[in-house]
Formats: sequence, C-alpha cells, structure tokens
Amino acid sequence: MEKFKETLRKGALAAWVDGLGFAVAFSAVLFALYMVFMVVPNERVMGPVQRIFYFHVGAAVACYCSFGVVLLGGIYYLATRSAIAHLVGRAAGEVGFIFCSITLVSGMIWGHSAWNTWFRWEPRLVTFLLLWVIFLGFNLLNEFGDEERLGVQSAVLGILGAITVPLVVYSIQFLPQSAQLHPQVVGNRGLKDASFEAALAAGTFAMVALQFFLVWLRVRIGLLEKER
Amino acid sequence: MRRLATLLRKDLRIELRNREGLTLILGHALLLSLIASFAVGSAFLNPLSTSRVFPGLVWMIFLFAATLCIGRSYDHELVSSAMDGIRLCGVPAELIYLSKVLGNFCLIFFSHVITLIVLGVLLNVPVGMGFLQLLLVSVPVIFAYAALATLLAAVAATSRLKGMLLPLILLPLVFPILISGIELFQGILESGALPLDAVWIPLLLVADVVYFVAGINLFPILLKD
Repeated sequence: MEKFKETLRKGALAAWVDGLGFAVAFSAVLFALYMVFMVVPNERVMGPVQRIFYFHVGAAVACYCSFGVVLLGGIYYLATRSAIAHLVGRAAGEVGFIFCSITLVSGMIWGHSAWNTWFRWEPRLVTFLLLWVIFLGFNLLNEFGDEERLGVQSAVLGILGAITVPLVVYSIQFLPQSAQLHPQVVGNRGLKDASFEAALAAGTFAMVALQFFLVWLRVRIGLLEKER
Repeated sequence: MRRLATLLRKDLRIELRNREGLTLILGHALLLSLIASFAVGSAFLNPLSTSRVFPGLVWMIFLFAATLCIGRSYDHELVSSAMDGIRLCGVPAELIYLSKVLGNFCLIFFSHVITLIVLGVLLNVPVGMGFLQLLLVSVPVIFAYAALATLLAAVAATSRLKGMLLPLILLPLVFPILISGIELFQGILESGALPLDAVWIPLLLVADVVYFVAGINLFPILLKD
C-alpha cells in the first residue's frame, strides 16, 4: 500500500495516468464542443439554446457517477481503512458538487429561455436541488469534521447520502404538480436526427471523462496536502 | 432485551431528572408554533388554505425542534466518557444505538403531539377529526428521522462545529421522509381517512428499514473509532 501511495505521488505511473487522463478528457471535451456547435443542426422549436442540453445531460450523468464513487469509496474505506479510499470519496464529493451545480445552472438557463422562468417546482429540478444539498452537507462535513475521525465519519455520511439518492429520485416523482414541464426526451419521443444522438453521447462521455479526471487530480492534491 | 430495557430506562431517567431535552424541545416547538401562526395569520388565508399549509408548518417545526434536541443527545456521554463505561460492561454497540433511537423517538414524538395540538388550536385547523390517523402516520416518519438523526448526531458530536454541523448534514437527507409526512398529513386533513393507496406509506416503510439497517450497521463502526 505504501509503495502504491509513493507511486501515486511522484512515480512514473502517476505521471502517465496524468497525461492519459488529460489527453482523454481534453480531446473528449473538444470533440463534444465540435459536435454540439458545428455538426448538430438547430433544434426546430427552441433554436440554439437547445445545445445546452448535451452538456446538461452529461453533467447530470457525471453527478450520479460521483455518488457512485462516493458510495464505493465509503464502503471500501470502512472495509480497509485505506487513506486513499477516503480521499477518493472526498474528491468525488467535491467534483460531484461542481457537476451538480453545472446541471442546475445550465438547466436554469435553458428553463429561462424555454419556460420563461428560472425555477419551477418540478420533479427533476427539485431532485437535483436536493442532490445538490446532499453534496453540500457531505463537503461541509469533510471541511469541518474532526480530523482524527473524519475518515469513518465521511464514509458513513457518504453511504447514507448515496442510499438517500434513490429515495429522493423516487419520492419526488409523486409530488403533486401542475404540469410536468421537464422534457422526457429520450424516454418519450427519442431524438429525431442521428447527429443529436451522437452529440448527446459525445457530451455525456466528455463530462464523465472530465469528472473522473478531476477526481483523480483531487486525490493527488489530497495526497500532497497530507504530506505537508 | 433486558439490557435494552435497562439502557432505555437509564436514558429516560436522566431525561426525567434534569428535563433538559424536554424543556429544550417543547420550548422551541411552542415558540416556533407561535412564530408560524404569526407568519400565516398575517396573510389572512381562508380556512381551506390554512389547513393546506398546516402539514408543512407542523413538520417544519418538528424538524427544527427535534434537530436541536437530538444534537445534544451525546453530550452527557462525551463529558464523562460514560459511553466507554457502558461499552466496558460488554453491551454491544447495536443495543446502545437501539436504545438511543428509542429514547430520542419517545422524546420527539411527545413534542410532536404537543405541537400538533397547539398549532391546530392556534391556526383553527380541525386536527381532532383524524387525530389518530395523524399520529399513526407520524410514527414511521419520526422513526426514520430518529434512526437517521441518532446516527448523524454521533458524527456531528465530535466535530469542531458541534451542534451547528448536525442540521447541515442531517436536513439534506430527510427530504424524502419529510415530503411523505407532509403529503400524508394533507391527505388525512382533506378526507379524514388514511390515504392507503398513496405511494407514501410504502415509501416511508422502506425508508424506515433502510435507515435503521444502515444505522445499526454503521453505528458500531463510528463508536469503535
């Protein structure tokens, strides 16, 4: 384990993963930008604003992925007490918070032009608002918790937060609502043009790749911080 | 079972002797009820609208008062390291958790009943009609809350921020049970009967099981650390 940590810190493997991660994330984002702004045609009803959709959905998927990493990191930490698992959970919490914010903000910009309102009490918006506060609580604990016990405490809260996510997603659907505003694009009608699908896949892959690369970087920064 | 009863009796006896928790939670619940009725009263809502905002207000008051009260539920143990004493007697950590959950449940359920009556009187909402049903659906809501809060209070108790951290990490997680409680209360106040066909009761039972199982498995790990 110590040797692995050492490798992570300055070894050749770490530098190699740095380079590979950067190359994959950077080219994926570039490719997604190219697809979204150069290839995909304007959507008929909403026009150019609809292009937010590709990053919006990608960020939402990355946000769920982060919860997965927080959960796995927490369970792995409780099983092995490895400092790296704690750092991974913590990093995924911070990165997930950013991607959750991206989802919310891009959704609000989109909503403002599509529905003429920044926020509606509508299931998916509320769901992501709640996921956002769960991440917020998790990050606050990591920031202000008792340093000596932080590993266990953050793992416990991470696991609780991650098992609350399905409950939130499920329960919000049944709230009474005047109208279901959020488009159920993929579920209902499907995407009409083949290039829409390709752009969606490219956007989602870019966001998820970026997320894992950021988690990796945050873990490395965490390791360096510990040494100080 | 006997050890559980002894632990629970110990917690409740401490509570009955110094009445700290009871005073704290009832005081806050009553003051918040008063504030809530001023907030609603100045809007001159008609009776129907008042009874529609009533469930949300009741559960909001419950959350604030109960979170304050549960935040201090480990204070005695931490000050005199009584937790170590109990564990040295060979009591499994699961039993300690169970007794804490039940003790907290009794306290916050009692205060919830009082809040329900006081706020009902202040806002002129006829809670008497479906009072038993209201209490019945409160049980799974408050149990899930107690299971979650007792576990997280142990997390927050040792942080630098002490009691201030608990609401920040607890409240984001209670939304599903809070929503269920509000929706069930609204159903009961509208029809006077239990809305059995709604999704909320199964959801609450699932939340009860999930949080309790998580708590009883995670609490020993927290305690040993």
